[in-house]
Amino acid sequence: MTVSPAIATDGLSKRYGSTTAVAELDLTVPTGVVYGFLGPNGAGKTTTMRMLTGLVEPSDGTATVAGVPSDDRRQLVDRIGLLPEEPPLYEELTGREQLAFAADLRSVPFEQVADRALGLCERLGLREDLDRRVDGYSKGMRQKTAFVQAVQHDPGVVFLDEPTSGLDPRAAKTLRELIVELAAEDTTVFLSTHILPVVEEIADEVGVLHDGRLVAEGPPGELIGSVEAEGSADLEDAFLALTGDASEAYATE
Amino acid sequence: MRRSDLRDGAVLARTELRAQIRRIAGNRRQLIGVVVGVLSFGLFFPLTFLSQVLAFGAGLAGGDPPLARFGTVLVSALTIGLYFGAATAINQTRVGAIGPLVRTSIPPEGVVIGRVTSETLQATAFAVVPGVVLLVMVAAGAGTPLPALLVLAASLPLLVAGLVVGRTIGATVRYLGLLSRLSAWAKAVVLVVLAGTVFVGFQTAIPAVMGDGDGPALSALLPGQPLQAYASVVSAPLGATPRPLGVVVAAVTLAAIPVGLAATLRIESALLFDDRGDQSGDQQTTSRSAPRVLAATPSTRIAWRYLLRTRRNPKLVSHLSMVLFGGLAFVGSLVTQPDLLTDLGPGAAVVAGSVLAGATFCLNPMGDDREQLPLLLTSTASTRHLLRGRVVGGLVVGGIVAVGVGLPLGLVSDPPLRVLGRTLLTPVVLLAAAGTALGVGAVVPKFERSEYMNVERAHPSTLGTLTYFFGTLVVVGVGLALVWLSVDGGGPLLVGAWIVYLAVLATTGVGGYYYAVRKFDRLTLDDV
Repeated sequence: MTVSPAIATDGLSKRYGSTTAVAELDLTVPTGVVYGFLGPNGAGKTTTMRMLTGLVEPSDGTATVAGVPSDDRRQLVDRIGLLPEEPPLYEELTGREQLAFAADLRSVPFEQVADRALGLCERLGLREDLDRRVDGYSKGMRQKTAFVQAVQHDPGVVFLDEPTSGLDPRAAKTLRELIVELAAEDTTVFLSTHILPVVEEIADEVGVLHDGRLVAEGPPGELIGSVEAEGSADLEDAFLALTGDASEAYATE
Repeated sequence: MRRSDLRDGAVLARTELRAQIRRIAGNRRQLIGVVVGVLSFGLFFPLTFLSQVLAFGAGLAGGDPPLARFGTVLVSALTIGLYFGAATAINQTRVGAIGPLVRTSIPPEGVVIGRVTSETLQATAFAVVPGVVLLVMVAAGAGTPLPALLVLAASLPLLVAGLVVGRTIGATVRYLGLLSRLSAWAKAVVLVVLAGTVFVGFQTAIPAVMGDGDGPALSALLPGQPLQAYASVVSAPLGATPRPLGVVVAAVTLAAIPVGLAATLRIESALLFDDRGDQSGDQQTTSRSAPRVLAATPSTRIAWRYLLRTRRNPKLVSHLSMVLFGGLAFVGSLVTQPDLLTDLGPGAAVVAGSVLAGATFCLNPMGDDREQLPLLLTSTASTRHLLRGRVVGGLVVGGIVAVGVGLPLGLVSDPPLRVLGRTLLTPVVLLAAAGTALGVGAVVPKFERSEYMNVERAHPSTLGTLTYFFGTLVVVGVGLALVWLSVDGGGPLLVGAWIVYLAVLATTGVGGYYYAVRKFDRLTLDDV
């Protein structure tokens, strides 16, 4: 029996006028893995995530996520969760109200997901702040709330765009552990980040995007090995070698 | 003030003006709005006063300048200056296009100079075209350019003084607001009370002053006499006899400019670095779940959260100030005609409730949530839960006004049958209004943020809002008239009218709702 991939794209492209943001992307992400999606600034990572989550329409090509076409929003939303770069939260709601709102958007009473959501908040050290308004939250607290919001309904595929941004080291470590646990529960995690040591630590598969094209794909060790002959020792060196120009606006934190 | 501050201010003003021009030029809707505004306000508006302005010009050149009319012109220049000066000072949500960078890169005095210059030029730019047209008309009426030049020479210092003093007043109001530590709701109440006082004041003062010939003249209330004296000084070359009071007024006007600038510079520099921020947010809120009446479905729970957010931050409904001012005009009329409360009050409450049912949350349903679109579009199989939530939230607000105010007033003043008819009509028009508003919001969604009433967010389209307001006013008014006629007697014609009326409500209300669902279900970030 063959297991269908969690994410599969076929010639996925996006053009804005004369600019090509993503060009003929062929991607296959197996179910239950952490997939590190890497690329320099402007490589097309966010656009790809937006196409996969149905937020923008591809100019060409197709994508299937959790077994459904990415443009079939009606079916897609039950199977995915998204943490975008800017946490989409309402300033006037408390963290708890925000999580309940997100559940209601999916027509799920919060009581149904509360155990999971509150457990995640507990792990992330957010539980005691849940009854404070979001407009009083720090960047890290917003990030944690948005993460819980993205996964509280137990989706099959989770898209995380820079999930550890703004988190303190302890919370970032917990989040990495949570991501690994999600994958162990058969959730596919599509992780876009610039923090390469994180990807090296937790990703099962890595895809490197450069100028809208996938220039390398495989397990991190394989990618490192492929450029080791030139003296590279870790994923950062492999990334720099693959994307060609170390002077790109890429920065490790 | 140092020379370097002036230089920094000039750079900032130039940058902000350039950014604003590019913003307008890059947005077709804004560009059309500006062109239409300049044409209608700049050309057509002055032409409505053509005969009066030509006569004024002829009068100026006639050897005996009409000082009373000249005084009125000068009052207008001063009032325009005061209004725009105050308005630009109060509307300070966005600290320029490059806010934080500016704050930390150039001295506060330079920032204030730059912003005052940029905002004043932006606010008064619209007055250039009509001003030139009016001056050309004055010159045409006079047959010589000298009177027009003198009108310009007299008006300009008053306009500038008005802008500067208005700016000082606005900055002071803002500073007092900050010091008061009032919540946003308290500030809203103060604004309503102040606006109400002004409306009621005008409603009572104008008839008292103008009503019979025995009372004082309007010019005694306005600065007409001193400005007529000022006009006499300016128009001396045209044959007027200068009055000493006019010289004093001219001196005070000229002195007000540097004094006002110095005061503004001081207050706004202090405001730039005040870290008290907005005190409107009570961040120690406890989470609240939906009350039982709104806990039944996802849509009603979503409605509850819109209501909750609005309760915590009234700025979310700042676009309703138009309804508020309409209501205040009605309240003002009550002062002179108290009978209106019982005669028109019940119907007016239904109209106001209907307007609110749609206007509160439905006029820009997805634009309101622009920042949350990644969540909304990846969480909702269809936007209908969200849109229904907005409808329910609007019905709660509108229902409180329509039923909570209209019903008791009706019970006091109307026969029971009429009250019953209006009560039956109310939920129908409220629902239709909310559905229609969703349709309007789907036809003209707005995702760009803009400033209105000192609130920067994606406000509903002005055109859409006005269309909805006046359309609702007319349609609900027709419904109330039908109720009135039905209570007094029936007939096949009336039955036909009801059928047509209900068909219109169903078409706009249900049609608007389905159109919005259909359109927003297909919304992607490409459309934003």
